[in-house]
Amino acid sequence: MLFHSIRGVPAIDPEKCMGCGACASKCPTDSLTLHRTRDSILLELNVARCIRCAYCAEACPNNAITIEDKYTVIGRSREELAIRVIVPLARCDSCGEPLRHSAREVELAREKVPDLNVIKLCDKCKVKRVLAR
Amino acid sequence: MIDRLRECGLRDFTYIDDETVTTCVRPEELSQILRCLILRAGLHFSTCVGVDVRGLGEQGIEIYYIVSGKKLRLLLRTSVAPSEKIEVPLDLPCTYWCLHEARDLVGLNLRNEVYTYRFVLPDSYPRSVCPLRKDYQYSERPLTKCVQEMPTRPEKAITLFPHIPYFYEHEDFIVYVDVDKIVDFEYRGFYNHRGIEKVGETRLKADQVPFIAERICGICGYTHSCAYCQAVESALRIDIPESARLTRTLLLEVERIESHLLWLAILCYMINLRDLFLKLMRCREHVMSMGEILTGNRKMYGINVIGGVRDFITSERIEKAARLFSELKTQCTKLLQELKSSERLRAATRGVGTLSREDALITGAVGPVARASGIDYDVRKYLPYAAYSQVSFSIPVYSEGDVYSRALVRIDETLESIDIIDQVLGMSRALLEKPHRSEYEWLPCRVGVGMTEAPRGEDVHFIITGHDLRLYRWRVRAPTYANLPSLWKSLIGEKLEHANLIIASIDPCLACTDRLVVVDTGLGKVRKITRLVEVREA
Ligand code: SF4
Ligand code: SF4
Repeated sequence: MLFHSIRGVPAIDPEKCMGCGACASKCPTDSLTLHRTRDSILLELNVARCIRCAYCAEACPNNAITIEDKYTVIGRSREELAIRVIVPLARCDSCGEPLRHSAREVELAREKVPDLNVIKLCDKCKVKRVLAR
Repeated sequence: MIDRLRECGLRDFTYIDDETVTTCVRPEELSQILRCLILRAGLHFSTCVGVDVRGLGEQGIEIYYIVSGKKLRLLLRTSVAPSEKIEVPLDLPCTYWCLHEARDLVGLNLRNEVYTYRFVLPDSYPRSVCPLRKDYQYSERPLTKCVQEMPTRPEKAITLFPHIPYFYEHEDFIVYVDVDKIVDFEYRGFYNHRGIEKVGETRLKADQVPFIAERICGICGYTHSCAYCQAVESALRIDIPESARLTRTLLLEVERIESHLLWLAILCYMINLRDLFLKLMRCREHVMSMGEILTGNRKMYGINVIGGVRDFITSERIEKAARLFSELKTQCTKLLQELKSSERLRAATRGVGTLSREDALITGAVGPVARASGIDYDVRKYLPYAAYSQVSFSIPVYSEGDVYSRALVRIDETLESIDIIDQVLGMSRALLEKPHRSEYEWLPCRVGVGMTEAPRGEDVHFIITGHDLRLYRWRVRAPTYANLPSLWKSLIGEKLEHANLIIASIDPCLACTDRLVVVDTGLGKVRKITRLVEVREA
């Protein structure tokens, strides 16, 4: 069940979110946006824009979004109404540079497909390793 | 039915779905064919759609005329070369608005124009810009300058109810009077162009559009999202599950009751039945709660998707709603009977604003306005959608055509809706059956039409699919758009003191006409109109 009594503000669980952006691409109003910084992914929810459609909750592969019973939100500025989740990126095993995927995505991939040999290397280190062979 | 179409000179029909046929006609024959279809064969003219087909590898503009009858929807397709002109059939006022809309939005050339000024765009929009042409980017904002294009007449003007800039929407009902008799009428709306169709064609994906469609109107939004989904389902030939059909029927009827109760309450307010006004509004509150229990939202149910509905309805929700509904039913029925037998209602509205059957036909009136004038056109019976073929109900029709019959039609319809909801809640096992939606594959260049009977009348959505889950064209014809032209016939000759009542009697919805995304709440709606009446003395 996506909601209990009324459809309220979506809540994002920062422990579960892996910054995949599935919710942001489904959101019809652009309330959810994904920003990339050098070492993390920032998922921002603008509650004032949200129409409580619950598409994001349906789309999330990790069930990180739940629809709360709270409908009205009050704040003095748009900034106060924003909900932000910062997801750190995975790092290269050899040089420590941030990769394109988040750490949680890599974890989840390992969990889901145990025999997959996930290589956590940045592009440069991959090239180096191939050349060294 | 097909024979009657042949008599009007139409050939070579292609079926889009079981009820929709399409055929091509030449532009010069069009007026003659339309006259034959509407005046002789008795079909209903729904709307026409201008499409800029240059993105489909063709030249110029195509116009689709949508004409509907019993178990048949006809799509007449005409290609117009860039330099060619289309004639406006002057004896068919139902075609005026959509042809002028095509002129303003996609740049169609018209012969014998009725409105020489910009019609569906604000006066300040530059003449050279046609916002629905494909070479116009949706993010562009044209440079505007303040001008007034609509010609003003020399008469002395007295503004009775000034425009209050507090409202988003603004329309002018200008009545010309001789002492206290209305001798002429003019309408100017469309001051606020938001380009919701453009947004649907460019920025949004097709599966996100139902939410925007739902926000076209604040009172009957669900019917728009249903009509849109049906249009896509007819274009892609998607068969939706039984449970989704029933869910749609249930919510559509909840919405109809809610909308009619609002209108009846406002009517009571206007004719000074204040206690009934309060009682009806309280009753309406419970109807809104039903929506909330079933879908989580009082309005904007957000439950429709292409191919069915979302899995929101559970057995606990149905039980809870059924319990509320059984209380509400008796209360609501009693109130409506009280209103129906009210002497005050009869005295204030009988014989006011009469619209004859012929006038209703040629102006293309729909919904309760048409049914009060003796036309039994109701999409639920003529072209059944959702689960309307499985429930039994009757269509109330009155022949007097005055405000009183419009009120009676709405009262009777509300009672019928209560009955339909009862029947659907009785089928709760089928309602809960999974899955609630069918899978589909997106195919480009398909044409589809979806029609629903909104509380205010027939609601038409027309789509052409594009590539990658996008729409090439999306056109919305909301019911008030079709009902406003009938005011020319029903206002002229009436007394000025009745003007408000007559304008309110078509249940005008500004959001419907302008296609705005504005949530219009309760009372604001009709009071807004009464403030905007302008009177000019002859
Ligand atoms: S509920 Fe709908 S509008 Fe709100 S953030 Fe989620 S997808 Fe976007
Ligand atoms: S909330 Fe879910 S869908 Fe959105 S980015 Fe996080 S994991 Fe992906």
